[in-house]
Amino acid sequence: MRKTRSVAVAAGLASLALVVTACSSTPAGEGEGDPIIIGHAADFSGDYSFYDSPMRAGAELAIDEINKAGGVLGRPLEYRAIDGRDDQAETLRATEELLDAGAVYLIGTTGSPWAAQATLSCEAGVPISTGDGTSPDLVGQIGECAHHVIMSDNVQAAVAAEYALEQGWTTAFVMRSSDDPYTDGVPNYFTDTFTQGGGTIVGETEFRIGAGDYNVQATEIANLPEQPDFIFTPIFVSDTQVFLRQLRAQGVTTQVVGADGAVDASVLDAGDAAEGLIATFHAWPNDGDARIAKFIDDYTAFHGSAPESMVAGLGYDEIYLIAQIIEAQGEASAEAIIRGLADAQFTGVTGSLTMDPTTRRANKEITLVKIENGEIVYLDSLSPKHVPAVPGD
Amino acid sequence: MDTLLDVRGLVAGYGPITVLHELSLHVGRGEIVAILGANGAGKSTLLQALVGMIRPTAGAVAFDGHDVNGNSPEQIVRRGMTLVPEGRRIFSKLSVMENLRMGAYSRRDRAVALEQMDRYFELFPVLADRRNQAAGTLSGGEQQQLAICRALLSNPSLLLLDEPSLGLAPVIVDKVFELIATLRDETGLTIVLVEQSVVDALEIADRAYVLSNGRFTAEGTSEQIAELDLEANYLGGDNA
Amino acid sequence: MTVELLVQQLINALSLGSIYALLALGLAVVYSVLGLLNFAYGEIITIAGYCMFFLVSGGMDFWYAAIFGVIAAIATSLLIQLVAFRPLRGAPANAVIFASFAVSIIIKALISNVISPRPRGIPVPSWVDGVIQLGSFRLPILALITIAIAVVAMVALTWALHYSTPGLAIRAAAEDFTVTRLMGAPAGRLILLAFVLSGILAGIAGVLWIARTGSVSPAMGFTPLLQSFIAIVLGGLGNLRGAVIGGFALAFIEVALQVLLPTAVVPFTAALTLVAVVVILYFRPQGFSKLAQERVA
Repeated sequence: MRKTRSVAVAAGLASLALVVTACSSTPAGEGEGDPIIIGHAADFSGDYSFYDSPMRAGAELAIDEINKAGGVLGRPLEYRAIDGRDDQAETLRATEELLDAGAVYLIGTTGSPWAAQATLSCEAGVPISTGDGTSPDLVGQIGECAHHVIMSDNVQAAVAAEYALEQGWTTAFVMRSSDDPYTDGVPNYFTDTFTQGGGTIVGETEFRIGAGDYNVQATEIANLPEQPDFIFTPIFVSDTQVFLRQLRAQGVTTQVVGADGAVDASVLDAGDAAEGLIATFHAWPNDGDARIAKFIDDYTAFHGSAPESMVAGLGYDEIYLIAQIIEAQGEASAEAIIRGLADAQFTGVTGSLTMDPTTRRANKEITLVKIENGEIVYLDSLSPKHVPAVPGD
Repeated sequence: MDTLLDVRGLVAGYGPITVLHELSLHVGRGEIVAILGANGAGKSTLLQALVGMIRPTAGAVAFDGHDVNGNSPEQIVRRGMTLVPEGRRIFSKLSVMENLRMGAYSRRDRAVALEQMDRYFELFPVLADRRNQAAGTLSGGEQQQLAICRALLSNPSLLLLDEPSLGLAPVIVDKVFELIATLRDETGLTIVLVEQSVVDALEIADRAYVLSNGRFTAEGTSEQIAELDLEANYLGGDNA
Repeated sequence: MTVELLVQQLINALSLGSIYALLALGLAVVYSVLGLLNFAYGEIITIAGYCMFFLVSGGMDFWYAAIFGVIAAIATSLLIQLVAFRPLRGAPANAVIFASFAVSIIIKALISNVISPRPRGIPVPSWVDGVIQLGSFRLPILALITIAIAVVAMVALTWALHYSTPGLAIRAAAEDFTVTRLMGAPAGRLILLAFVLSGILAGIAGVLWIARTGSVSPAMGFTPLLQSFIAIVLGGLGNLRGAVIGGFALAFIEVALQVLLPTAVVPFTAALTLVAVVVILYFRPQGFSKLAQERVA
């Protein structure tokens, strides 16, 4: 979902870590029948475990299925997940450990240590993904090995804007937070597409992530001279619940549109206040989609409970994507995977994707969901007509 | 005379540092005993050891027939030994009345304490006038009266006074010492008085001990001690 | 700004300030007696929250569960004193501070591993999110409840601290712990009482906090700890009345900055709030403690 970065510092730290470990890293052998190692150094206990833990749970299921079906190129997949606790040093240490073990591909962490981790991985020539990080400007800064294999914020924000325009909603009030590139970037991309399509932004306000209180913003919206057609905000759980309740408590009934950070079962805790919320997301089970339903059944059988978050589907798909690439390349090396990722086409439980070789990001359809009668339900799937440009592309 | 406090071979200090070396002293019921000594002689340490703020490493302390060595401050105050600490240490943010209520904290018979308060207000009229005022607004002399009155409300049989003259104007010092003498005369209270101000202390004390570097170097009646020319022989060196 | 908007933002600040004031009081009461900060203070709220979560999930009414939440807060506060403070009495302050840090980390890790790192929702009765329309003024019910409960709690605490003997001893100990012991107040019981009061205050504040966030998470104690820490520094460390003033001041600064500053500057609200605090402390190094003292006199 979101991702913070401080690339310069991170790169410096990563290079330092590399110097320390350069002597000890030995690539694993390529022998027949040896397991192919896929690593996942991410946050399984801190704030981002919200996203990284479901990714892991989904990946575990995919690994199990693939190995039961005979592995890839006749070799089993070995999945190693290490907790970096959203700590830069811990994450780097975990990443080194995986690289030393001979991992040919890494799933990155969704949290801020990603930039440092990805720099380290790239120095070793091993491809790495952004985890559940959706900011489109992430991989461009790191280099050839970094790949963004899920939806991007510029695309999901554009879909939110075009969906609203399609409904005839032409005025929007935007709520953003500059605390994080995600909560700052999404409103920018939204504004770009929305105004391009003829919509008007009637006002904008700032919020603080994790403030626990959004009465100031709710009061401001309640006292707008005229209510807009809808409020657009990338505010994410658990802040979403607080904001929605405080907004409704001020007597505001205006439609709220959000992004993927708001799509989590916990948003339903807001009760009546969450009713009617519309948000963009990776994918969502709907009546016509048997694939997701089967995934949820298999997941439940494997883990003993239904997925806590649909982010599990992303981890599941990522493993299948890599397996497909290794199979197609006929070789389980880091170089082969990078080659294969460049123009990969893949269909998984969270939809179909086509990798763009110039941006190294996936083009993927976006799903819209809505909260109705205390449930998150599928609303629509769209590809935007106007995709906002990403700075640095 | 009936002995109220009997200390034998008391050794005490802070951590590895021994301050008091085998002190022995006794205080009879109704006596005023002065403990004289220069700064750093160990006077305050002695009082702290007596009231249980620091634990003696050796020796015996008998108070009112009970072995109180190693008791906690709250146990000792309940036995009837109360300290008026150096620098008065009144609760400046609390009102005068609240300070006095704290003085009676250790007592079960708080109703009796309230009656006594009226009696003490006759002795300390200024406190009666300012009972609802924050104690920090009192003058130094008034604060010393409050500190003494607060200690009296615990209904002690032995009152320990640590440098009551400290930081007070000479005129006020005289009044405070006068008050201490009156207390003994009117209530029969036993008093141990720790002082640097030798002349004032000896004026009201019956007996005195001279403490120097953690040891008693002289003891006797006030008259005997007064003849020793303490300032020159015992205290002068330490004061430098 | 219209009068309506001004009044509503004032109510927002008041209700946020009520929570901060209770939180700050709870942290200050232990600091005032022991001279040590309890860095596991936030976890008192976390445990109270999870206790409520389990009870409400089991079908109990939110406000009944709140009572048990406060009880759990008291128990946690006592447990922290037993584990982190009591064994280290007389030890250097650093040791105790690290011990309370350790307790905080352990509680967080336990909840994260045993229950879940993910936030859990506590459904709050929907009438709480209602609003009372008074002429042209909109008064959110939760804000009114928050202010009312906080005022009752603070009046009760003030009464107890002034008119009960143990309460008086706490105030005396806040000023001079040694002399309070010399007056016969048992040190152990005073410390215990301070932790009980701290637990009650954190519990009540926690319930009000949860009523507004509607969820619990392993790390939920951090913001309350941070805000109460800023509030008691602002109020003059160890000064109870100062803690209340500090709590309200912090809320008013936060709300005022968000309302008055241009949108472009709002992201820096948190930083600017701290700048405001530093400026206040520059001119009043004792925080508001002097002010608080004058009011007693």
